[in-house]
Amino acid sequence: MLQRKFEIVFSAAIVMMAAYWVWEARNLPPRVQLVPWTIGLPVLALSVMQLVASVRSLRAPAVAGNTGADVLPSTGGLDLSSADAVAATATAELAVAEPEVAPEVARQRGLQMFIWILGFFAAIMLLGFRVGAPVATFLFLHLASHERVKLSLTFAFVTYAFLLAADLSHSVTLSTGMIAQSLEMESFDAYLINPIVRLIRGY
Amino acid sequence: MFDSTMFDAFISGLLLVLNPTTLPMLFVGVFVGFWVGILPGLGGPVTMALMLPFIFDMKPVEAFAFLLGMFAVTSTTGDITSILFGVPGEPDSAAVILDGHPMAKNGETGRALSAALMSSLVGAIVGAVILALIIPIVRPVVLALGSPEYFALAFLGIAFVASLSGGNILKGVLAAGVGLLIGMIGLDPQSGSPRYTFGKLELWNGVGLVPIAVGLFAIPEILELWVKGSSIAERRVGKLGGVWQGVVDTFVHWKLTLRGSAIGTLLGIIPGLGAAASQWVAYAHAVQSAEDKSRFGKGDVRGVLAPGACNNSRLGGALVPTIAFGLPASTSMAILLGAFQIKGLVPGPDMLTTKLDITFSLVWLIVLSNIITVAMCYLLLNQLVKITYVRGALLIPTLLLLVFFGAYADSNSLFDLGVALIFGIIGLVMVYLGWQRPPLILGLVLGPLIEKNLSISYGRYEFAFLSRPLVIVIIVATLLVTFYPLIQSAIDRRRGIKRHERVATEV
Repeated sequence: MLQRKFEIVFSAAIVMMAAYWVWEARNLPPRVQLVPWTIGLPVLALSVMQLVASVRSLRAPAVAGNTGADVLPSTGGLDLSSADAVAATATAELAVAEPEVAPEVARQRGLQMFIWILGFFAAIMLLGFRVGAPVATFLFLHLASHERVKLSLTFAFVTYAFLLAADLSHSVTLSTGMIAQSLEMESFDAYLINPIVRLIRGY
Repeated sequence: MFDSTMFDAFISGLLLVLNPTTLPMLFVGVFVGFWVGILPGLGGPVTMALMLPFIFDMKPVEAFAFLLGMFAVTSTTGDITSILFGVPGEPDSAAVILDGHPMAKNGETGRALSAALMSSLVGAIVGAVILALIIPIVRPVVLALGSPEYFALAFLGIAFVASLSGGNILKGVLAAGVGLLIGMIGLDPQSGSPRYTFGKLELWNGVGLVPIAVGLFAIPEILELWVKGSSIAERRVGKLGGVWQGVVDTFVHWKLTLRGSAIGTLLGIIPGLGAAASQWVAYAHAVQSAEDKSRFGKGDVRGVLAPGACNNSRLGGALVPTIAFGLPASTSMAILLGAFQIKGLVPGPDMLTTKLDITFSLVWLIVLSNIITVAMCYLLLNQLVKITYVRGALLIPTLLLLVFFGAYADSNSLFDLGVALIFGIIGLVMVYLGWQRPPLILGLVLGPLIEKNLSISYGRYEFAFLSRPLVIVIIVATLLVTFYPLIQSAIDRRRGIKRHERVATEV
């Protein structure tokens, strides 16, 4: 039921997006209106259809989930009558064989990982790539994945080395992070790295 | 048909690939592909999306060597975990499990792995040969089409991908529509005025393909990798024997291997059909064409040869509509089309005339990358197996770094980090609600092409371009592909209700 409600919200969001696109194009010159309306109007119509279908499905009775065992043919083994039948029975057998994660555990782990993804993002935004990414890597491996300190530090160091190499090679100019920028610092690791780089370049 | 121009381009393509700067990129792509193909949780399309930011500074052929080298490997090495542990390393390696894993359990691990590798190589070469042969045939067709036809073909491609890649077709078409709408963000190409930018300067150049692709595909996969936990190897594999027997099997059953290759190439041409379907068609054909079917599902090497050959021959077929018509035949081809865009190449007539050497270089790249892959697999088979013991959780920080680094590197903007995160959340929602993600990318990639062709068509013919015979045929085909499944399912539902009512009254 929750899934169906989400479906309605998502479909409604697409309707609003398409409607806005079509509405905004009204002020454009006729030749320029062509593309937004050629694409926007059919998308709007289809999205309304999808929204109606989503709302209707809210009233339909819930269908019981099929387990892999339910779709295995009664005779057992592979149905070789056609390619579709082979695919259906074989994927059913593979689904049964694959170990399932309990829904509650899956939800918990999913939420945990989502928070870590947000944390990774926040670390890079605030501390910059060269500091934020290795810190987030270490914290994730040690705290979430319960890896040993040595392994976590190794991964963090390799991450730092990769980013430093990318930055120093000028192939990309990495952000130093919002905190360093607001403090008008070059970067958090500049005091450590710059002397070393100057020394190496001096040679 | 195959005139001296073609031949010159064919040789030029080889020389481009053998260039000292291209070959190393091929090896790097193959190396990355080894890791991706072997480790479940990542797919070829996800990795291609993650690697897109790294091709900006490469020449076109170098970029394709990198991407195609990686992609060509993933199907081959995906068979390794399928055979060893019954876990598909790639979605298109599932069919190999049926007979490959029982062979491993029966002590024929080396034979099964070797059969999969050698049939993959044969399949790839057959696919490349067919691609090379189709190019001169398809060239006059491509040159005869104009912007109205290309405009209509783009919608047909979207309809195919939405309908044949599984799931609800209306959702698939809508996802593509959303991609097309997002593709309109930025400066209007005709008037130069900002369009749908919400007053943000960062959106004047549009929303980058790379941040969207990495967020949309990689973030949900990363989440799933964590949720499922480490699912790769749980037991150690002993020494692998019978490797030579697997090579012999490929040539003893050469007709089946060739037929599997042909199935993969031909089905690969059809947009949206995907590896999931073609591998099962190849497997079913192997079963149905066998006189003795009793060992299938219990360790018959023919059950490994056919899907193994099919998976690697698909790439050759899939490149035909992608290069000739700008119609990606699969998610990976949609991302490859994005790479075309990044390198300033336009699929269609250009790729078969002025850039024909680049097109033929793709043929050579498929052949070379698979030869290198199979050779390395044979040399390092025992070591490759050890990679499967790597815990999935160790990959996650690296993948997240690639997502955010890749998104940022697109235009050195923190704004794109936010785009990647937002589209990651959208990807999660789409997966949760059963919406397909590839059509969204397809819409985004095809958007500029559709806009360009529509503008040219309208500029030359106004709305009269819609009355061109081929355009009408393509539009009708698009409507059929889009709406026929919807009408059919509505009819089926009504028949089901009537049957239920009839049974109820009879009872």
